[in-house]
Amino acid sequence: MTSAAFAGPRPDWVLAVTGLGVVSPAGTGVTAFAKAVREGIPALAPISRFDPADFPVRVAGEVRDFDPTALIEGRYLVQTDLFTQFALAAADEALADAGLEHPADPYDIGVLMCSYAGGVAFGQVEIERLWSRGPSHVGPYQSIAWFYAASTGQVSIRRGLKGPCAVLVTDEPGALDALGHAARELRRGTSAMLIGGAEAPVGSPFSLACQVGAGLLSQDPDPATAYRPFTAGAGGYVPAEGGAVLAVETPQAARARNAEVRALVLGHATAFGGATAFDPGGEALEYAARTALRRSGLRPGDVDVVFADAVGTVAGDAAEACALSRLLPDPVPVTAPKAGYGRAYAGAGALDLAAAVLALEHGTVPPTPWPDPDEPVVDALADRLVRTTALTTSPRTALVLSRGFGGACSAAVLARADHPLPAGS
Amino acid sequence: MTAQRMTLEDLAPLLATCCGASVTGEQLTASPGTTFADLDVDSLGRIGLAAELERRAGVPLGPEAEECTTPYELVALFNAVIEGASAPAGTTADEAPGHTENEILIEAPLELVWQMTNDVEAWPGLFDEYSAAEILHRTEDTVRFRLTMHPDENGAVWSWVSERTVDRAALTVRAHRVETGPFDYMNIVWTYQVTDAGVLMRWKQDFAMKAEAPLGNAAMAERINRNSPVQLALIKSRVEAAARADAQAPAASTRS
Repeated sequence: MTSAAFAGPRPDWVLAVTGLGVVSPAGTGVTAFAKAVREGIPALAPISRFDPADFPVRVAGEVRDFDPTALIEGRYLVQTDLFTQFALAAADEALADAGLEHPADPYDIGVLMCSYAGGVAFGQVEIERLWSRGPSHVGPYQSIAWFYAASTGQVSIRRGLKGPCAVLVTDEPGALDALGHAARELRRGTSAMLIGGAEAPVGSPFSLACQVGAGLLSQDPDPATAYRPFTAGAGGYVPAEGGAVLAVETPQAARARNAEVRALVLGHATAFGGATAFDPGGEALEYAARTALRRSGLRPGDVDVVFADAVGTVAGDAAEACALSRLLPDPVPVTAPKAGYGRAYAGAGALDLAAAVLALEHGTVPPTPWPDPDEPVVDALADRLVRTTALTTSPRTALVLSRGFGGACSAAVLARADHPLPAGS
Repeated sequence: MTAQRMTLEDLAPLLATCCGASVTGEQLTASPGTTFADLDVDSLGRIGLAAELERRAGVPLGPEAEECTTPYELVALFNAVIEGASAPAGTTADEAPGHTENEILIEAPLELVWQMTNDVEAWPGLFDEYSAAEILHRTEDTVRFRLTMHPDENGAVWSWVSERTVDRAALTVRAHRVETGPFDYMNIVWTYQVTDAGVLMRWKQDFAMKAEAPLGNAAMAERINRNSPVQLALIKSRVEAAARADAQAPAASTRS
């Protein structure tokens, strides 16, 4: 690696985040989410959408304060799964935040919502009708509501956004990879992209059944202890509902329309870590992080906070901790706010991006919430993991890490809006 | 099969559950020309709604169900189908739906034929059977109006509300009775075909009579087929007379 690599971010890849929207177990709306994350308010609870008695899993992060009928028109509600409704609501908030509710040119704004499982709960209802009453009882909206592309498609349709649209299906890293995709679309001339992801993985028994087989879900029935990443007692992750949407554009475009920039995305990278496990050894995650930093024009020592993937399995956490200690020899605060509200698959990366933007804005590193502050964590993170209370260290940069079931490993580097950019950014 | 007749009041809640449309039966009844497009119901929503009605009817509604552009048409189709399917043999409802076609060649420019025959307010002077034509509501291409007939041989004055939508590019007009009177439904398609000899104007009527109507479908078809040529001939003579007057007008102006 040459010193020239650290001259600054590649100007044509930098993104300005100008809008945020959040629907999460920790709160619906950016304000509620920001407060809950900063204060480390736990939001995990027993599964309530159905009776999980037949499952080994009892706890989830469910979105509680979300009334779709108050936010979304009836004709969209009848044809969408909850995961799409989350995306629609978060997209509304992000567009309003960015001041892009009434774009001058609808062909100039694209949409990329990630999904991991699609509308499984919607499909279960239709399958119940098929088996109990016959094929003529299966509604025509089944043909679109289950689909991974439903959230992108419905956001595009409902908001009249006709720019480039796409879907990425890479589990949690999807929203990070969407940043890379958005950067390419903006270089081609699109003015803004709505990116993000949303998921509803505990919407029905069928939804949960599809996840149990992987053996990664926590079976601890106590919400207070079910999701304890980086501890010796880590027993898997807790599935969560929700997601986030970011409006991104080039810094030039944001300046040109006097939009307020909430944060910058300096770089992104992705790597593949093996199809059957969460990146054993952490090599792919480390590679993605190093590449993202290089593309961002930053040295590892420039990282002020890491938002960890925190999958919550002993092996997965150890791999991530190893990657972090190799990447960042000097102690850097590491946090995993999702320990407080769960892992929302394609929504998780998007929520981590939102949490990172908010941390840079507020100058605080949110904690990794769990009840016992004295419970030991893996050695490599013992002096780094932010626990119980937020740090007021005014981070200027944030590294967001994400891994997916199936091998995707991605990293994104964010910086405060006032981060110096090279000419041409 | 004992499916009950359906009204727009009955359809409104199904529009909500199948299509997510928020409209009351009262609103639909007051504006029977309301289209699925007006209600933001997309094609999948219409398929789902038609499937729900088919389950209630117990018999297929046929491809016409997906061609209905208004809740009103769908309800009329549903009622026609269930009565056709459930009526005992020998009654009028057992008959095939009524269908008539009548046409006439008008030797006049298309523009004049189109303008005169679509000027609903002037119909009392174009036909000889109407005493009044009152416009109730008009949008760019659609007009809803009340037609009133001259008193019949019994002194009865028949009156009803219809709605017609013009498609100038396709040279087609689609109309239906909103207040159906003795009809279960009555739909009329007007087409205009430009030929070397003039404009061929055709009326295609599809209808079904109510079970309690004094006439059956076949008898009504016969009546329409008797009356339409009379009215068509009258329209032809009046439009052609206007065309001749138009043709002389420029000549008169050059003379002066």
